[in-house]
Amino acid sequence: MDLIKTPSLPERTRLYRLPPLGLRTAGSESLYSWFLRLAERHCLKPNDLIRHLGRTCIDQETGELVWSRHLHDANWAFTGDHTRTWARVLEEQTGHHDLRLLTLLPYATVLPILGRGQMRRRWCPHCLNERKTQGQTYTSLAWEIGLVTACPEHGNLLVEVCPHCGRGAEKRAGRNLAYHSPGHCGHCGGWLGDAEAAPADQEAIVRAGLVGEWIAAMPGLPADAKLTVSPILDAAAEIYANGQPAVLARAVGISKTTLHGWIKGTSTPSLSHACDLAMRLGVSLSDLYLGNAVALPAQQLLVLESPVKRRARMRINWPAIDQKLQGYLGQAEPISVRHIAAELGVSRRTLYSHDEGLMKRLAARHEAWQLASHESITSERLEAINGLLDACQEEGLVLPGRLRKAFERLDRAVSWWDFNRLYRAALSGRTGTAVQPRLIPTGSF
Amino acid sequence: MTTSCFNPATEPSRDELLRAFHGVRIKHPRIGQLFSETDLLLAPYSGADIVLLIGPTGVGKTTASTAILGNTYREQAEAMANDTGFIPAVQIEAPSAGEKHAFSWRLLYCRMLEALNEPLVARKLDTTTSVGAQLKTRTGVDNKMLSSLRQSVEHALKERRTRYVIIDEAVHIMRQAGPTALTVYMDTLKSLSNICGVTFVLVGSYDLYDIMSLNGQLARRTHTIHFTRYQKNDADDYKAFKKTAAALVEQMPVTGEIDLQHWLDPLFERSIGCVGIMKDMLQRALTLTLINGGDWKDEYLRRALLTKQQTRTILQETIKGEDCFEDPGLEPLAA
Repeated sequence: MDLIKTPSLPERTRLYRLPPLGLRTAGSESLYSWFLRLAERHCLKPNDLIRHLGRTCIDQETGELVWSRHLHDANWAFTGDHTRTWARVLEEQTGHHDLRLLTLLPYATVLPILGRGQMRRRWCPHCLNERKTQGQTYTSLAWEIGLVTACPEHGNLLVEVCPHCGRGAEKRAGRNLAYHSPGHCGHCGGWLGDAEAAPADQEAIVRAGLVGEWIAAMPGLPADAKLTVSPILDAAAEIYANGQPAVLARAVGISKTTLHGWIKGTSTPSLSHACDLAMRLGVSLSDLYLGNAVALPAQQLLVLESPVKRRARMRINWPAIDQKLQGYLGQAEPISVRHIAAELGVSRRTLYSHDEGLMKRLAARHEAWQLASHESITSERLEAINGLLDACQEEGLVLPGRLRKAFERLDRAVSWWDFNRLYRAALSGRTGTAVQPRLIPTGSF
Repeated sequence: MTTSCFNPATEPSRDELLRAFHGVRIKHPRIGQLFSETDLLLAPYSGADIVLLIGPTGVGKTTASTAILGNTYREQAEAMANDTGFIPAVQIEAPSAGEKHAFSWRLLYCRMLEALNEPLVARKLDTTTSVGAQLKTRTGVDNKMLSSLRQSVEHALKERRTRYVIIDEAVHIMRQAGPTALTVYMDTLKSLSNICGVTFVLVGSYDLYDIMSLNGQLARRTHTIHFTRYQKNDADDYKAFKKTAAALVEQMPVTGEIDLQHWLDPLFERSIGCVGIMKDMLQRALTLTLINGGDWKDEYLRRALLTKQQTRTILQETIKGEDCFEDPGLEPLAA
């Protein structure tokens, strides 16, 4: 007869395998939004959950506990180590294999690591309302990319200010945020779909559409895809500019050295540059990053300009300049080097290179004059305050607020800070000891 | 006659031996028969929100529910390998918290969440709900609020795709509640079952059958499984009981021979055909044996047997319970 063994549950994931929303569409969900929904599903505050994971999860690559910085301090959209670590940890903890698709990590090899994306929360109210109707409230990855300022579907600008409390729903507000729910303001909990959005210009819409299309195609990117912009740029230079990259560089508005680096593969274009390139070449971002030269349109979209002639070298009449500089040295009221450079039409750097000693003397002379002027003004003002104090003492009452009003009538407008300093100095000179004057607000008079 | 293969020279300490025998569970024929009845547990929305696994004390209900759980894990092994978050079934024990006239749902929910591998059970929050355009404020929310635990249990059962939850010692729920509270408690389980598509298997003695008389709604949605004892006048039952006893004796770490044939009838009689009671008596006999050096003597088993009075009490309770499960027949009910 068989024995019954105590059933042991195989090792289960600690967190739910919550499916990401909007995958394979331009409005694909961001990792940040997915994590907020996951925490909500576990009935936990996102920061509690992230701290718990930070205390218990070992990063398989480093063998150390994962770095559990505050959730809102970091952007999880771009390609930094922080995003990479957390995507990996969350995949382990949930059994998901595609959380990287909620970030730009699939394109990590061709995107600069330093890109931090958009730290402010932005949204399209129309998209939020539509998703709410469908019972799927989430925020898009595209909204976390700084480059995207419009909604390609609704043609409006993304909104940054909460319609209920008027505050920006910043991501970096950190632990001050009271609410952590996609589609709701972090400060007041108001529904962000209530905001009104202004129409966007065509370029912003096209740019957002390009990024949206790229994000939608991300799940289809083969794991072993070789990502490089080099072949397509090389082909574009060959087809459109007769094999002259410099002409192409001019047409797309970048330096030829930069373009040379991209073609040789020694550097990669930022997402912003890639977007510009894709728009001007008439290809999708996916084709650009995959180096798909076949995607280049047969009809040239670029307008190639003829090379501009090099500007003639500026000739400077140094003997005349020297004479003028000597003249400045003799002026009763010295002027600054900045003004001198502006008057002569020569840069300060050039002037210093020409005669450093003379320029330093001019600068020192102006500084000394400025200092003397300041002291003179201060003593004049002190004298005026002393006069007013004498008058007040005759009346037997010293009211600093009234004194300031009287001072302003005599002299000119003075800040509370400056007046306080002068007033304190005047009182100190009278009694011989430091006095703490009590300044009465102007409204009391 | 059964001989134990126990060799004291190679065995661990007495406590460990006792613990090992205490953990021995035999898959006897009655448990095998139960498996066919439990198919409806795995079917979502099977029409049975609550299943009562009822039987006399010591018949082996806990062992049976453990076996059912193990069987489910084996059957669902492939699905569990494909989805590492899938938990088809869990088993918990209803706590007797010691609170007067109140069953602690908080403790039950916490145990359920722990069984479902839920993190940070102590920090659960009632998740926000929309009130107009604003979110309901979270300020001052008590982390240990029952609603937050309940909501968390609902989410966990849905996300883990759990089919059934076995609640052992379910009589603790009944004994800490008056009739009104019991109806509310059962409604709570029914509602949880409705929302999450989960069947609750309440394991307990005949007292549990009173649930059927609470209201028609509950009676309609409750399925009962009667876990019967072995009957002496049934030849197959007697044979199965004998086999089970032999299997248990084989696991006893004692030196010497145990004349099971001689002791079978007294064991059957004093255990009233309940395997669990028989095992308790064998456990006591084993304890006496190990205390006295590990050499088996019939005297120890004689001392370990239940008294006639004890047996009579159990038998009376059992017969009373068994009356509820008389063959319902198909005759029309009297007006």
